[in-house]
Amino acid sequence: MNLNNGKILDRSRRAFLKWSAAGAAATPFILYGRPFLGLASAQEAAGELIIPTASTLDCGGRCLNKVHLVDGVITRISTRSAAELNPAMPVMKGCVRGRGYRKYQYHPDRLKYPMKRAGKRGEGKFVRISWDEAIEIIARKTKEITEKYGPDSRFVTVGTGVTGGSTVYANLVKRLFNCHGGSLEYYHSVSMGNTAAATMFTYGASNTGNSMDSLLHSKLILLWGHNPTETIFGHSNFYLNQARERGCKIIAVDPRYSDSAISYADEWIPLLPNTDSALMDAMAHVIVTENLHDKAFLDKYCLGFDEEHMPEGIPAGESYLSYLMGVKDGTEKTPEWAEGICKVQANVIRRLAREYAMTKPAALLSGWGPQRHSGGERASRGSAMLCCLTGNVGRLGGWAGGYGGVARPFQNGMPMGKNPIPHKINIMQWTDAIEDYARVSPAEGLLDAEKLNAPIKMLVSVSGNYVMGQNPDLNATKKLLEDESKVEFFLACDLLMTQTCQFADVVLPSTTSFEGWDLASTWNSGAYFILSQKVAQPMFEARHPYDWLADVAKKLGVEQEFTEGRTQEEWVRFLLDETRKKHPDVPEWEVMKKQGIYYFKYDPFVAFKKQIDDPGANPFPTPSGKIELFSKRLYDRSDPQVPAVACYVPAWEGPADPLAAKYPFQVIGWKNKHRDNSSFFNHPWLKQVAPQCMWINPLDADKKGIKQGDLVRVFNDRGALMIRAEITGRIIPGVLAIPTGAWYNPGKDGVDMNGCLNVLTTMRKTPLAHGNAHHSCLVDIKKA
Amino acid sequence: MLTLKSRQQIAFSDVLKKVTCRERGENFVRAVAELCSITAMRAWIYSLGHALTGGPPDSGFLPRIAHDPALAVLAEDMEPVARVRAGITACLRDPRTMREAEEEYARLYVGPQALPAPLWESVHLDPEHLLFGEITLEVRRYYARHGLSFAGRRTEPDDHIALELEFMWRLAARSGALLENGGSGDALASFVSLCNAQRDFLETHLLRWAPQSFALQLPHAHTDLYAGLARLIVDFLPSDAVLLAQLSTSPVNAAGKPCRKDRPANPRLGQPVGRSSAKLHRRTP
Repeated sequence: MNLNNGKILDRSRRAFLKWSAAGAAATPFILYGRPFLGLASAQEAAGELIIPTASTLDCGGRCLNKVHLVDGVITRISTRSAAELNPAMPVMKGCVRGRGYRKYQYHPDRLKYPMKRAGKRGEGKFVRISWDEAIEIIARKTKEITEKYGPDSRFVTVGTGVTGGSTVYANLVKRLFNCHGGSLEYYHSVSMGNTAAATMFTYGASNTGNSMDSLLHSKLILLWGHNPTETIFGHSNFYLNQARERGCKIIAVDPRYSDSAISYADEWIPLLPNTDSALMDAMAHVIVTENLHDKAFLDKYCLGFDEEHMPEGIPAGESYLSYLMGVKDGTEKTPEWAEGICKVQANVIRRLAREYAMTKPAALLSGWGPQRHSGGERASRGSAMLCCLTGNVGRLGGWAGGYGGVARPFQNGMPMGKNPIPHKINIMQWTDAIEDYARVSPAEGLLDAEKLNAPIKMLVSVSGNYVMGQNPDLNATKKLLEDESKVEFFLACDLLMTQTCQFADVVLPSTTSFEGWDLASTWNSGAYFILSQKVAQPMFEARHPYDWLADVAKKLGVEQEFTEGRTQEEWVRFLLDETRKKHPDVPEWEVMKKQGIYYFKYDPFVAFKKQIDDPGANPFPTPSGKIELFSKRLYDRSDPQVPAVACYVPAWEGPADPLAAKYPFQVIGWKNKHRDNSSFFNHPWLKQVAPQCMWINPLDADKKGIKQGDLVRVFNDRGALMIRAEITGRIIPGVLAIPTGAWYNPGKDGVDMNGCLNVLTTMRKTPLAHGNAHHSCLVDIKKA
Repeated sequence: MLTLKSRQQIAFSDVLKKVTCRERGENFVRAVAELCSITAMRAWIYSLGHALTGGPPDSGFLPRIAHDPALAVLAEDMEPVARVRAGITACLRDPRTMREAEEEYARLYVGPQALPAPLWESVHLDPEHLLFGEITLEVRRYYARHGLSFAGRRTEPDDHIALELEFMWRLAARSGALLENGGSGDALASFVSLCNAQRDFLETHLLRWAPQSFALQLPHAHTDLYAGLARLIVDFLPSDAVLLAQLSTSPVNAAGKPCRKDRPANPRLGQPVGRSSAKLHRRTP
């Protein structure tokens, strides 16, 4: 800058003269565009408010969040302090996820306005629209599609983003549809559906879990594919810590040396995924041949252990014992036999079996990892079989195996209304129902109908990234959705622009748990609920799904049926009142607002205690009234994939599949500490907690010439992804592990760049539950 | 090339000399008029920035801006304004260009895809890079000190670029209005005080983030309208700060009031710091 430059002086002088001459100076000061600032009203209170609340994300815990508010802004989130802990009622405190909620609430990328698609579906082009226009489009499309294809062409998909309370956002859409002719619904949980289904065949019920405090009575705990340190199963961690401190031995059986194994386990027993049943069978073989089994228990409560306790009309040699001894196939299921399959050394199997059988009571906590396999139902039945073999069922400090859900009291949930459409598809059939609905049959999992009347034409995803995130085989799903003639209208509502939203026709900005009311609870392995309070107004133009659905209901002429005259807050007040009718000591609304939490008080609860204490009066709810180690219902199916007794069958896309010649590595996912499903994928803190990388054993890395941090291409016939290698002895050789929940991000050549496992996983359905087998997945790898 | 920076600086300091003279003669009147027009020009640029960052191009303000003679005047000397002007003209002439501008506005300012550059001070500056950071509350308090507030603050942060530019416009407009009646002693003192407030807001807020943020936006802005706008914000804010800094180190500010016959300025107050200001000071009686 040269201040002495006369020319510049002259020119600037001229500019001002021109400016003045043009009358600009004389014109009043004009503010173009929309004014935002106005005269300030009276000074607002600047003090800090601290409000107890909780999130409603799909986390198994439910921590007490204390929201610090200054002038309506959340400035900080704190949690229950150590001093506030009541060991009799251990309310959880926030982990790194809970403490990071502010980063989600105020994420600059939050969806801010309703949007409609402007380009081809999935192309990522959107234009902002008003809520009025959005409501008009949704109502019009709903009417058009319903008139043309019928109400069962409407499908609300998995929405696990908000499931931690009484109000599951996605279910509000189902409620609206139920007021308007119904919709096609799905059954099956992609988290635990296989084990829930299989456990029914053993016990006639799926809730096989005890209350978590019962673990304090255990002498030995097996964490079998169970990783509560990261998944947070209710109170598990509080009691596992105490059990460990009291000297209870804890053993982790897992392909990975998981965070839970690090936190609790005295011993880690790595095994190949998809081979759990072989290890279980060999353990059973040791227990039985060394006469360590609880014969009295088996004789009294169980059907099908030995030939003397078989249902009528079954030929000889079908009992579990006969299977173990190789009566029919000539192969005894010895530890040596299993070693070749599951890679656990025979002597380790023997030691594990003896220890489990001789330490009583022992809790074999079967996690939900081993059941998300193609042989997941067999593994689930196998875990229950071991619990029976050792007489740990119905016993304080023991565990019944299988699904493990706890039948504990809950607060009331938002009523869904009645769906006039009786039939349901398995969640694994939704793509079939779009692509070729004739393919959807009872043999494939359709319930209560012989066939579908219509394909899915309207798809709704609220608070979920399932469609283009957690659903297996995303490349196939992508192709399906790109065909705009198939799904005619796809509505998505979420907090952030997930890949699922990228494929929607209309995208709506949703609210966080700080922006609405709810009763938030732990998974069933916890014991309390927290009033999730509305502490902030919805950001930008975000609206609570209840509110925009009420507007859609009005357009559809069912407003009164949908709202019953209540606002969102009034519904939650109503649910609290209804809960108070069952549990009179639940406080009233105003007290809950201050107190935050209600803790259900009950004595240690043991599943099937009634049946064990007095079997005559309380038969198991199975056809035989006994625990069915042999299931005649399964026997009658004659499906070699689901034998009548829990036994090892080589799993498809497991290590024994011939496909392993082409794709020699198994890849598994795990639900991790830094995300809730795919929530928080773009959370800045949580990205640092655990970077998205692939675990690979040093032996495998050496073989493939892969070094720590190398970019690796992981691929099979379904797709490919790129990810950095984390070389670690924490995983068994032959197996790769990638944290689930990465947002699918296909590059130009269709290769996913975020490490989203589901470009590799298969849509093939499990044999019994017709469910998902995310962790049965064969791949190869190459250094990029 | 004549840059806005140098031009403004020279002009403002030049004018300031006039209003610090003892005599309220012809020079004084001319000087106040010039000060007024500089202020109007500054305010106009803030108004332009506010409008373009605060709403899509089809919300009706483009024809009004296009017809404002100030646009042509500023475009002659300020390249970014010239580019904005070309953008406005093209948008109003050709619906396709308007559509492109709308799409670009959506990409840069609306979403739903992640925006290439933050539009909120706290996202850029706050250690947590979030909306509604501690800085947002500081900005809110800053507005409140000047009797202003954002009605939408319960759902949208107060530190969006459009709001901060509007705040600068409001202060500039207020200061300009003070001079409209010829600039009495008290009015000039208030004018200076408001200029100091603008300088302070620039230095504690806008300037600390907006030029960097819009430099990040530049590679993503392809239309004349928004590329010009981004460049304008990158260039104009620092130069405006320099301009306002001159004022605060000038004798006008030092005395709290302009020099008057009965009250000579105290040269010891408000020691100037800059080279140009030092010169200025030496010439002051």
